Amino acid sequence: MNGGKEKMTAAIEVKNLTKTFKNMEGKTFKVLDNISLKVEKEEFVSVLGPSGCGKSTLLNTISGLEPFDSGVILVNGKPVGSNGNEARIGYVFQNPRLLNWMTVEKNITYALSGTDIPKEQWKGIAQDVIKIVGLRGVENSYPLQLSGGMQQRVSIARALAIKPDIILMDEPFSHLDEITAEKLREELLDMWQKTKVSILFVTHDMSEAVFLSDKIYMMSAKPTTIFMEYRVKMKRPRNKLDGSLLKIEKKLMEKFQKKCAFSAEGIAV
Amino acid sequence: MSKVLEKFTNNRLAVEIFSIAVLILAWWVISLNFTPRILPGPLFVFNLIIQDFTEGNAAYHLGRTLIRLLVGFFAGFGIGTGLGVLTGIKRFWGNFFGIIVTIGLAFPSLVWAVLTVCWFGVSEMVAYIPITLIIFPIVTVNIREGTKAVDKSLVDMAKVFRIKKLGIIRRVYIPMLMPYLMGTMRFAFSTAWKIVTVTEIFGLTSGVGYMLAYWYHELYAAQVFAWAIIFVIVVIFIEKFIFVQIDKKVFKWRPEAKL
Repeated sequence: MNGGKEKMTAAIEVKNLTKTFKNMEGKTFKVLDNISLKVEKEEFVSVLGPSGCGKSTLLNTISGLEPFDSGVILVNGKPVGSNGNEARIGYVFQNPRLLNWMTVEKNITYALSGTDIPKEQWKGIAQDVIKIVGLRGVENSYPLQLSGGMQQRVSIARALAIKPDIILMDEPFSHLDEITAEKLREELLDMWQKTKVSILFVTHDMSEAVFLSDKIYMMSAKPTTIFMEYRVKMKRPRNKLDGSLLKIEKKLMEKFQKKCAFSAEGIAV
Repeated sequence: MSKVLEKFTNNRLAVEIFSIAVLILAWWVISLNFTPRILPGPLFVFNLIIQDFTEGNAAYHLGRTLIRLLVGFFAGFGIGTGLGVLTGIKRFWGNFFGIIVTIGLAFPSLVWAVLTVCWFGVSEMVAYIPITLIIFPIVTVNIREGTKAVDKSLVDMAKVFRIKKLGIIRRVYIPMLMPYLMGTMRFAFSTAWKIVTVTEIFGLTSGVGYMLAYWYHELYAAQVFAWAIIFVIVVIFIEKFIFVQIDKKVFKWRPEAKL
């Protein structure tokens, strides 16, 4: 770097992103309205918003699955989808989206086959990430033999395996029972700290966002835009039952209610 | 005692053997009232089968039928799978072939057999063409449904992880089509069996169907029985030792798969 003065490139930077849909009658409406956000390297950032506010669309747009109308999406300082952008994006979906006909290990090496990591290293990498997510011993099991929580661990391992520049997470714990979800949240923080990966996490769960994140972007449904950025300054490890976390939650909830009653309805506390 | 009984009723193979034994016993009891020429008993037919293989040329006829069956089956299955995928993906071709397939499904299978005899005389084509033409619409319809039912979310997953097109086809599309392919294969195979024997009765001078027709003209019911049973045994063998085994291998990832 130039004398150490240059700012470190962000893992993800989104500037003025706008995306429209055409409905059945041919009327266009905005699903993403002038969205800007930034995830620094090694940062844990959440987008918090009610169901149907376009959070999943945002992740799909960032990952390149869906096109957008205007704005810029930079992964590692380069536009997504452009030539020469070798950025690796790990994605943990709401449902695990595993290939049920492949073993746990094969599911992970399948993701590696989309990278330029040499084949000889795949098995070793798979072993490493399986260990990180606490799945040793089930490498050769098939997904349907595992519980929902374990399947989601495989999905996380798959995202970690490709040594991603960013991991996108779309409400990954919302389909799990609360006890399993709570355990996985704590473990996710461990994995995040161990691997120093950058995470953009989407959720409608207020306390989940406050517990996990360095920074929270709050998104409203109408208009579908980010109306506030909040930095959670609490030290880690955090305790979910800590009074000051609860205080933050209360404060953010009030912001949502002020913004619009409709948005607040979809937020779980 | 009840424990032994419970063990028996839970053992699929044991129950199947028991069921066949009951069937054969019933057959034997009924046959006692008739002469072997009209309704032979099980033992009589069993001896006839042995005789057909040792003194006659049953193996030759069976072999001919199997070869015709396989040629027609693979041609029909191949064309049907290709068209099924094409019509499932592309709307224009879906409409274009959709109506042709509907006509194909409605066309009486016997007509193809009669027509091919008119066109080709006594020729292997008399078996190949009807089998192919009757199977392919069935396969097309099933594979088209399978192609439409593909879970797009898994394809999206593979795309996010930058998997190349070939890798997505091999590891995502084909495994998702597998249940449809296997189900269709079984159905098409059993249909092909029925057609091949019919075409052999009509227009060929060898094969199981031809032998059935031959003994029918001689009005010798015992031999008709014997040939029908040869046929059934081969079909069961193929089902149990080929299809079930392929299923086990292909679907071993399904925890509930008990076949």
